[in-house]
Amino acid sequence: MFSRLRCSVDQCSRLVAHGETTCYLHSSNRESTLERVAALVSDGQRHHDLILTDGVLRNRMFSRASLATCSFARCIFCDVDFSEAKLNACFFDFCLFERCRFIGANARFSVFAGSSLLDCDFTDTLLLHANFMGSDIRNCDFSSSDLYYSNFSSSYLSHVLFVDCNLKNADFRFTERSSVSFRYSNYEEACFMQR
Amino acid sequence: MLAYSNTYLIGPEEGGDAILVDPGHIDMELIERIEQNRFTISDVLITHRHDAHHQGLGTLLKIYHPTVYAGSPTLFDVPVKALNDNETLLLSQFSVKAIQVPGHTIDSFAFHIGNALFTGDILYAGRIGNTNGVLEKALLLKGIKHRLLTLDERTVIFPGHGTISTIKIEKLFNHDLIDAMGIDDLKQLSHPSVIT
Repeated sequence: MFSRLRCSVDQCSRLVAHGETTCYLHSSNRESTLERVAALVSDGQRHHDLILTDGVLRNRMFSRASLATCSFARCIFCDVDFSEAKLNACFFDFCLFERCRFIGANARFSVFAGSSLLDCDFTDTLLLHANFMGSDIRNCDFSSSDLYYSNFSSSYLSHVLFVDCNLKNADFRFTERSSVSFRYSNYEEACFMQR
Repeated sequence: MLAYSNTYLIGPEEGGDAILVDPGHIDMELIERIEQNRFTISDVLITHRHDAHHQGLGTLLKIYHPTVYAGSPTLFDVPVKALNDNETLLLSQFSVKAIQVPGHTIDSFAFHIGNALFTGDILYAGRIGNTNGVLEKALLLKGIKHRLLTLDERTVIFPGHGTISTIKIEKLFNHDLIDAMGIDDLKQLSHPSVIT
């Protein structure tokens, strides 16, 4: 679980990309590494400990993904469809998500901390215990999602919808918010104040 | 009513002896998961004395016969082995380092296994554990700073409640820790874009 092999290139501390001895950036054939990992993500089989950091993925269909304890730190995802995907305890920290869809996905215990999420759709998503700490979230929709014990502390939220969500024990302390709607959600059970 | 804590099950992929951290609540889902993975619970680690972290112990001991480890063994009705600070235990196939960080309670321990850190109520994502006074808070912050934040920044934190995190994420976004940092600590902070 949570494989942490380091890149074999001197002075590089990035994680080894799946099936390689180096990180993605030091891979002799980045395109083939990226395509190999992307093929595994989209094949509908359950995978764990896949690692691809610093990659760029555009226009992908990952709706059949079934992943656990994988790391995609510092990746860029543009127009990627994770709808109905299972993403259990996966790391997407310090990533950029642009126009990505997570409709109906199960991303419990996953980490999106330090990421930028722009124009993304998280409606009807299971985000129990998801970590969005320090993230920059703009024009995103989390409506009808279960955000039990999720953590948005220290994040920036602009034009974000949390309509009809379960917000029990969700953490919104130290957030900067503009045009954020919590309509029909149990926001009184979330935490907004420093104790 | 007491809230339950997160319970963590750690075992080898091929099945066999496994470790349970904080058996706050034992239900059919957990037992099915143990059995599906062909695990036998050989060891139980309790992070601290609060009931939410061990009230499933009675049920568990009716099914399995693990060795139980905790910081304050005399507080339990069942035989419990005492943990010592900095002690390394070989449990199942895993090397477990017990790190005592008092403050939330005097017997609070974190368990370092591989690159995972089970912090109980010492450190959660985005906050530190509750304390009963300023001295306890200072003690807790000192322990976190010197014993936990010095670990590899990619160490994954599994807290007693709430979401998982990493040492790096906590250094960058945990206001309780940032407020308590001195200028020297802040100088050592790496920018998110710096690869660790």
